[in-house]
Amino acid sequence: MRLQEAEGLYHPYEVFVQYEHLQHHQHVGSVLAPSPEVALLMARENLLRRERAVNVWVVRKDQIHATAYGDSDFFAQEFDRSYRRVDGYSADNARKWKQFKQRALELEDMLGD
Amino acid sequence: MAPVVSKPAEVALHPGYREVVVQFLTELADDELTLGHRDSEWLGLAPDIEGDIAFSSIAQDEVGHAAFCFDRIAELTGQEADVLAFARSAAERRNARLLERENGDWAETIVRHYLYDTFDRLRLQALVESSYRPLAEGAVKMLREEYYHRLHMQTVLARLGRGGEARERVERALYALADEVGSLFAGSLQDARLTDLRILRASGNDIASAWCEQVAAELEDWGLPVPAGLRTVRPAADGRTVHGAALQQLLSEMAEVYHTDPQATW
Repeated sequence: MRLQEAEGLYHPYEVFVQYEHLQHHQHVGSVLAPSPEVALLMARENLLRRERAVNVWVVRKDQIHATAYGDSDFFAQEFDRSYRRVDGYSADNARKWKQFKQRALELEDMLGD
Repeated sequence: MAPVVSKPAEVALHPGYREVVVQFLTELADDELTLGHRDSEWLGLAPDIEGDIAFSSIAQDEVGHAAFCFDRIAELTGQEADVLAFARSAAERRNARLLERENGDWAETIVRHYLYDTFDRLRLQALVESSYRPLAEGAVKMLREEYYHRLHMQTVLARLGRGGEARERVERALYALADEVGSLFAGSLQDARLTDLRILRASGNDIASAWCEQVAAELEDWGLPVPAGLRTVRPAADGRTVHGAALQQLLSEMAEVYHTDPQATW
Protein backbone atom coordinates (compact mmCIF):
# COMPACT_ATOMS: atom_id res chain seq x y z
CA MET A 1 0.00 0.00 0.00
CA ARG A 2 2.75 2.37 1.06
CA LEU A 3 4.81 1.59 -2.00
CA GLN A 4 1.86 2.14 -4.33
CA GLU A 5 1.25 5.53 -2.75
CA ALA A 6 4.88 6.44 -3.22
CA GLU A 7 4.84 5.26 -6.82
CA GLY A 8 1.88 7.52 -7.48
CA LEU A 9 3.64 10.49 -5.89
CA TYR A 10 7.09 10.16 -7.39
CA HIS A 11 7.85 10.49 -11.08
CA PRO A 12 11.07 10.01 -12.98
CA TYR A 13 12.45 13.23 -14.45
CA GLU A 14 15.16 13.29 -17.09
CA VAL A 15 17.85 15.85 -16.36
CA PHE A 16 19.56 18.04 -18.97
CA VAL A 17 22.47 20.24 -17.95
CA GLN A 18 23.90 23.22 -19.80
CA TYR A 19 27.47 23.56 -18.60
CA GLU A 20 28.28 26.79 -20.45
CA HIS A 21 26.18 29.43 -22.14
CA LEU A 22 27.49 28.56 -25.61
CA GLN A 23 26.74 24.84 -25.20
CA HIS A 24 23.43 23.09 -25.65
CA HIS A 25 21.81 21.12 -22.82
CA GLN A 26 23.10 17.57 -22.40
CA HIS A 27 21.25 14.63 -20.96
CA VAL A 28 23.11 13.56 -17.81
CA GLY A 29 20.75 11.19 -16.02
CA SER A 30 17.45 11.06 -14.19
CA VAL A 31 16.00 11.63 -10.71
CA LEU A 32 12.83 10.51 -8.98
CA ALA A 33 10.90 13.41 -7.51
CA PRO A 34 7.37 14.36 -6.45
CA SER A 35 7.32 17.72 -8.30
CA PRO A 36 9.31 19.67 -10.91
CA GLU A 37 10.61 22.00 -8.16
CA VAL A 38 11.94 19.10 -6.11
CA ALA A 39 13.31 17.48 -9.28
CA LEU A 40 15.34 20.64 -9.99
CA LEU A 41 16.74 20.67 -6.44
CA MET A 42 17.58 16.97 -6.62
CA ALA A 43 19.19 17.37 -10.03
CA ARG A 44 21.36 20.17 -8.67
CA GLU A 45 22.41 18.20 -5.58
CA ASN A 46 22.74 14.78 -7.20
CA LEU A 47 24.22 15.54 -10.59
CA LEU A 48 25.99 18.90 -10.11
CA ARG A 49 27.86 18.41 -6.86
CA ARG A 50 31.23 19.09 -8.39
CA GLU A 51 30.83 20.55 -11.88
CA ARG A 52 29.72 24.09 -12.57
CA ALA A 53 26.74 24.77 -14.82
CA VAL A 54 24.61 27.68 -16.00
CA ASN A 55 21.22 25.99 -16.49
CA VAL A 56 19.30 22.78 -15.79
CA TRP A 57 16.16 21.37 -17.41
CA VAL A 58 14.07 18.61 -15.89
CA VAL A 59 11.50 16.88 -18.05
CA ARG A 60 8.99 14.39 -16.75
CA LYS A 61 9.81 11.14 -18.44
CA ASP A 62 6.18 10.53 -19.49
CA GLN A 63 6.25 13.86 -21.33
CA ILE A 64 8.94 12.66 -23.70
CA HIS A 65 7.70 11.37 -27.06
CA ALA A 66 9.88 8.63 -28.48
CA THR A 67 10.10 6.12 -31.31
CA ALA A 68 9.62 2.43 -30.59
CA TYR A 69 12.69 0.18 -30.56
CA GLY A 70 10.71 -2.38 -32.64
CA ASP A 71 10.12 0.21 -35.36
CA SER A 72 13.54 -0.15 -36.96
CA ASP A 73 12.22 0.81 -40.42
CA PHE A 74 11.86 4.32 -39.03
CA PHE A 75 15.62 4.57 -39.41
CA ALA A 76 15.90 2.63 -42.70
CA GLN A 77 18.88 3.44 -44.97
CA GLU A 78 19.14 0.73 -47.61
CA PHE A 79 21.05 2.16 -50.58
CA ASP A 80 24.43 3.70 -51.04
CA ARG A 81 24.37 7.20 -49.56
CA SER A 82 28.04 7.99 -49.80
CA TYR A 83 27.18 10.81 -52.24
CA ARG A 84 25.43 12.58 -49.32
CA ARG A 85 28.47 12.48 -47.15
CA VAL A 86 31.27 14.96 -46.87
CA ASP A 87 34.06 12.36 -46.64
CA GLY A 88 35.31 13.57 -50.04
CA TYR A 89 36.52 16.78 -48.47
CA SER A 90 39.72 15.20 -47.25
CA ALA A 91 42.97 16.83 -46.24
CA ASP A 92 44.07 16.23 -49.83
CA ASN A 93 41.52 18.77 -51.00
CA ALA A 94 43.59 21.83 -50.22
CA ARG A 95 46.51 20.50 -52.26
CA LYS A 96 44.24 19.70 -55.23
CA TRP A 97 42.61 23.15 -55.16
CA LYS A 98 45.99 24.79 -55.12
CA GLN A 99 47.07 22.75 -58.13
CA PHE A 100 43.84 23.56 -59.99
CA LYS A 101 44.11 27.29 -59.33
CA GLN A 102 47.74 27.28 -60.36
CA ARG A 103 46.82 25.66 -63.68
CA ALA A 104 43.95 28.09 -64.28
CA LEU A 105 46.32 30.97 -63.68
CA GLU A 106 48.82 29.60 -66.19
CA LEU A 107 46.05 29.20 -68.82
CA GLU A 108 44.96 32.80 -68.27
CA ASP A 109 48.53 34.01 -68.75
CA MET A 110 48.85 32.07 -71.98
CA LEU A 111 45.55 33.39 -73.35
CA GLY A 112 46.45 36.95 -72.29
CA ASP A 113 49.70 36.89 -74.31
CA MET B 1 37.36 55.47 14.23
CA ALA B 2 35.80 52.17 13.20
CA PRO B 3 38.60 49.79 12.23
CA VAL B 4 38.96 48.01 8.93
CA VAL B 5 41.12 44.91 9.24
CA SER B 6 42.23 43.59 5.86
CA LYS B 7 44.79 41.04 7.08
CA PRO B 8 45.01 38.80 10.16
CA ALA B 9 48.21 40.49 11.33
CA GLU B 10 46.42 43.86 11.55
CA VAL B 11 44.22 42.76 14.47
CA ALA B 12 47.11 43.61 16.77
CA LEU B 13 46.51 47.31 15.98
CA HIS B 14 43.06 47.29 17.56
CA PRO B 15 42.81 46.43 21.27
CA GLY B 16 40.27 43.73 22.02
CA TYR B 17 39.54 43.04 18.34
CA ARG B 18 41.22 39.65 18.17
CA GLU B 19 39.34 38.28 21.18
CA VAL B 20 35.94 39.37 19.83
CA VAL B 21 36.48 38.13 16.28
CA VAL B 22 37.91 34.78 17.44
CA GLN B 23 34.96 34.24 19.78
CA PHE B 24 32.52 34.98 16.96
CA LEU B 25 34.38 32.82 14.41
CA THR B 26 34.29 29.97 16.93
CA GLU B 27 30.50 30.22 17.11
CA LEU B 28 30.21 30.26 13.31
CA ALA B 29 32.55 27.29 12.91
CA ASP B 30 30.97 25.24 15.70
CA ASP B 31 27.44 25.88 14.38
CA GLU B 32 28.36 24.69 10.90
CA LEU B 33 30.42 21.70 12.04
CA THR B 34 27.77 20.52 14.50
CA LEU B 35 24.89 20.79 12.05
CA GLY B 36 27.03 19.39 9.21
CA HIS B 37 27.80 16.34 11.33
CA ARG B 38 24.15 15.82 12.27
CA ASP B 39 23.23 16.10 8.57
CA SER B 40 25.81 13.47 7.68
CA GLU B 41 24.12 11.03 10.09
CA TRP B 42 21.26 10.74 7.57
CA LEU B 43 23.60 9.06 5.08
CA GLY B 44 21.84 5.92 3.89
CA LEU B 45 18.75 6.66 5.99
CA ALA B 46 16.93 9.56 4.27
CA PRO B 47 13.46 8.77 2.87
CA ASP B 48 14.59 8.53 -0.75
CA ILE B 49 17.93 8.07 -2.49
CA GLU B 50 17.93 11.50 -4.16
CA GLY B 51 17.17 13.23 -0.87
CA ASP B 52 19.85 11.14 0.80
CA ILE B 53 22.56 12.29 -1.60
CA ALA B 54 21.30 15.86 -1.49
CA PHE B 55 21.51 15.90 2.29
CA SER B 56 25.04 14.52 2.25
CA SER B 57 25.99 17.20 -0.24
CA ILE B 58 24.59 19.88 2.05
CA ALA B 59 26.43 18.29 4.99
CA GLN B 60 29.68 18.61 3.06
CA ASP B 61 28.95 22.26 2.30
CA GLU B 62 28.34 23.00 5.99
CA VAL B 63 31.55 21.25 7.02
CA GLY B 64 33.31 23.26 4.30
CA HIS B 65 32.03 26.49 5.86
CA ALA B 66 33.25 25.28 9.26
CA ALA B 67 36.68 24.53 7.78
CA PHE B 68 36.83 28.06 6.34
CA CYS B 69 36.09 29.56 9.77
CA PHE B 70 38.56 27.27 11.59
CA ASP B 71 41.24 28.36 9.10
CA ARG B 72 40.50 32.02 9.86
CA ILE B 73 40.82 31.28 13.61
CA ALA B 74 44.09 29.45 12.97
CA GLU B 75 45.46 32.54 11.20
CA LEU B 76 44.66 34.66 14.24
CA THR B 77 45.77 32.36 17.03
CA GLY B 78 48.36 30.02 15.55
CA GLN B 79 46.28 26.98 16.51
CA GLU B 80 45.63 24.15 14.07
CA ALA B 81 42.25 23.86 12.37
CA ASP B 82 42.07 20.09 12.96
CA VAL B 83 42.82 20.52 16.66
CA LEU B 84 40.08 23.16 16.89
CA ALA B 85 37.60 20.95 15.10
CA PHE B 86 38.30 17.63 16.81
CA ALA B 87 40.26 18.07 20.04
CA ARG B 88 38.19 20.61 21.97
CA SER B 89 35.95 19.31 24.77
CA ALA B 90 32.20 19.85 24.88
CA ALA B 91 32.71 22.62 27.47
CA GLU B 92 34.83 24.58 24.97
CA ARG B 93 32.29 24.34 22.13
CA ARG B 94 30.24 27.41 21.21
CA ASN B 95 27.61 25.96 18.88
CA ALA B 96 23.97 26.79 19.60
CA ARG B 97 22.38 24.05 21.69
CA LEU B 98 19.62 23.74 19.07
CA LEU B 99 22.12 22.25 16.61
CA GLU B 100 23.56 19.49 18.80
CA ARG B 101 20.14 17.88 19.44
CA GLU B 102 19.78 14.45 18.01
CA ASN B 103 18.15 14.50 14.61
CA GLY B 104 14.78 13.12 15.64
CA ASP B 105 12.62 12.23 12.66
CA TRP B 106 12.97 13.56 9.11
CA ALA B 107 10.41 16.33 9.76
CA GLU B 108 12.32 17.59 12.80
CA THR B 109 15.58 17.52 10.84
CA ILE B 110 14.06 19.60 8.04
CA VAL B 111 12.39 22.05 10.46
CA ARG B 112 15.63 22.58 12.39
CA HIS B 113 17.61 23.06 9.19
CA TYR B 114 15.09 25.55 7.87
CA LEU B 115 15.14 27.53 11.15
CA TYR B 116 18.93 27.52 11.20
CA ASP B 117 19.40 28.35 7.51
CA THR B 118 17.08 31.33 7.86
CA PHE B 119 19.10 32.51 10.87
CA ASP B 120 22.43 31.81 9.17
CA ARG B 121 21.45 33.81 6.11
CA LEU B 122 20.63 36.89 8.22
CA ARG B 123 23.89 36.50 10.15
CA LEU B 124 25.90 36.18 6.91
CA GLN B 125 24.15 39.17 5.33
CA ALA B 126 25.28 41.23 8.34
CA LEU B 127 28.85 40.03 7.66
CA VAL B 128 29.13 41.04 4.01
CA GLU B 129 30.28 44.53 5.10
CA SER B 130 32.25 43.26 8.08
CA SER B 131 35.28 45.27 9.21
CA TYR B 132 37.12 41.93 9.28
CA ARG B 133 37.66 41.63 5.54
CA PRO B 134 38.79 37.96 5.44
CA LEU B 135 35.46 37.04 7.04
CA ALA B 136 33.45 39.41 4.81
CA GLU B 137 34.88 37.75 1.70
CA GLY B 138 33.99 34.30 3.02
CA ALA B 139 30.48 35.45 3.95
CA VAL B 140 29.76 36.36 0.31
CA LYS B 141 30.68 32.85 -0.80
CA MET B 142 28.83 31.13 2.04
CA LEU B 143 25.70 33.17 1.30
CA ARG B 144 25.69 31.87 -2.25
CA GLU B 145 25.70 28.25 -1.05
CA GLU B 146 23.20 28.90 1.73
CA TYR B 147 20.78 30.18 -0.90
CA TYR B 148 20.03 26.73 -2.24
CA HIS B 149 20.27 25.06 1.15
CA ARG B 150 17.43 27.28 2.31
CA LEU B 151 15.54 26.77 -0.94
CA HIS B 152 15.86 23.02 -0.41
CA MET B 153 14.50 23.21 3.16
CA GLN B 154 11.70 25.60 2.17
CA THR B 155 10.59 23.32 -0.67
CA VAL B 156 10.67 20.15 1.41
CA LEU B 157 9.09 21.77 4.47
CA ALA B 158 6.23 23.28 2.45
CA ARG B 159 5.50 19.84 0.99
CA LEU B 160 5.67 18.02 4.34
CA GLY B 161 3.30 20.63 5.76
CA ARG B 162 0.54 19.81 3.28
CA GLY B 163 -1.16 17.22 5.42
CA GLY B 164 -1.36 13.75 6.84
CA GLU B 165 1.23 12.19 9.07
CA ALA B 166 3.99 14.39 7.65
CA ARG B 167 2.19 17.53 8.73
CA GLU B 168 1.58 16.16 12.23
CA ARG B 169 5.28 15.46 12.54
CA VAL B 170 6.19 18.95 11.28
CA GLU B 171 3.87 20.55 13.84
CA ARG B 172 5.31 18.44 16.64
CA ALA B 173 8.83 19.46 15.57
CA LEU B 174 7.95 23.17 15.43
CA TYR B 175 6.70 23.11 19.03
CA ALA B 176 9.61 20.97 20.26
CA LEU B 177 12.25 23.21 18.65
CA ALA B 178 10.58 26.51 19.64
CA ASP B 179 11.96 25.98 23.17
CA GLU B 180 15.54 25.72 21.88
CA VAL B 181 15.81 28.47 19.23
CA GLY B 182 16.86 31.05 21.85
CA SER B 183 20.27 29.36 21.86
CA LEU B 184 20.98 30.64 18.32
CA PHE B 185 20.98 34.23 19.57
CA ALA B 186 23.25 33.59 22.60
CA GLY B 187 26.95 34.40 22.91
CA SER B 188 28.55 37.01 20.63
CA LEU B 189 25.21 38.23 19.32
CA GLN B 190 24.63 39.59 22.85
CA ASP B 191 28.07 41.24 22.93
CA ALA B 192 27.91 44.94 21.96
CA ARG B 193 31.62 44.92 21.06
CA LEU B 194 30.79 42.81 18.00
CA THR B 195 28.80 45.67 16.44
CA ASP B 196 30.96 48.44 18.00
CA LEU B 197 33.96 46.98 16.15
CA ARG B 198 31.74 46.57 13.06
CA ILE B 199 32.59 42.91 12.79
CA LEU B 200 28.85 42.30 12.50
CA ARG B 201 26.76 45.09 10.97
CA ALA B 202 23.46 44.27 12.68
CA SER B 203 22.78 43.74 16.37
CA GLY B 204 21.69 40.39 17.73
CA ASN B 205 18.30 41.88 18.52
CA ASP B 206 17.83 43.15 14.96
CA ILE B 207 18.74 39.73 13.61
CA ALA B 208 16.36 38.07 16.06
CA SER B 209 13.40 40.25 15.13
CA ALA B 210 14.07 39.91 11.38
CA TRP B 211 14.28 36.14 11.88
CA CYS B 212 10.98 35.95 13.81
CA GLU B 213 9.23 38.04 11.20
CA GLN B 214 10.47 35.94 8.31
CA VAL B 215 9.87 32.56 9.94
CA ALA B 216 6.33 33.52 10.99
CA ALA B 217 5.47 34.86 7.52
CA GLU B 218 6.78 31.75 5.74
CA LEU B 219 5.16 29.26 8.11
CA GLU B 220 1.87 31.10 7.68
CA ASP B 221 2.28 30.97 3.89
CA TRP B 222 2.57 27.20 4.16
CA GLY B 223 -0.47 27.06 6.44
CA LEU B 224 1.61 25.90 9.41
CA PRO B 225 1.17 26.99 13.03
CA VAL B 226 3.62 29.52 14.49
CA PRO B 227 4.46 28.62 18.12
CA ALA B 228 4.85 31.63 20.46
CA GLY B 229 8.55 30.83 20.87
CA LEU B 230 9.12 31.42 17.15
CA ARG B 231 7.02 34.60 16.98
CA THR B 232 9.16 36.28 19.64
CA VAL B 233 12.46 34.72 20.53
CA ARG B 234 14.18 35.22 23.86
CA PRO B 235 17.96 34.69 23.63
CA ALA B 236 19.04 31.90 26.00
CA ALA B 237 21.90 33.32 28.08
CA ASP B 238 23.66 29.93 28.31
CA GLY B 239 22.58 28.72 24.84
CA ARG B 240 26.14 28.40 23.52
CA THR B 241 28.06 27.63 26.72
CA VAL B 242 26.02 24.94 28.45
CA HIS B 243 25.73 21.78 26.39
CA GLY B 244 23.84 18.55 26.84
CA ALA B 245 24.70 14.87 26.60
CA ALA B 246 23.84 15.05 22.88
CA LEU B 247 26.96 17.10 22.14
CA GLN B 248 29.13 14.70 24.11
CA GLN B 249 27.77 11.81 22.05
CA LEU B 250 28.26 13.77 18.80
CA LEU B 251 31.88 14.69 19.63
CA SER B 252 32.94 11.22 20.66
CA GLU B 253 31.57 9.83 17.41
CA MET B 254 32.85 12.64 15.17
CA ALA B 255 36.36 12.63 16.66
CA GLU B 256 36.66 8.86 17.16
CA VAL B 257 39.11 8.39 14.29
CA TYR B 258 41.04 11.57 15.14
CA HIS B 259 41.61 10.35 18.71
CA THR B 260 43.07 7.02 17.57
CA ASP B 261 46.17 9.02 16.61
CA PRO B 262 46.01 12.82 16.98
CA GLN B 263 49.54 13.16 15.52
CA ALA B 264 48.71 11.37 12.26
CA THR B 265 48.99 13.28 9.01
CA TRP B 266 45.91 12.90 6.84
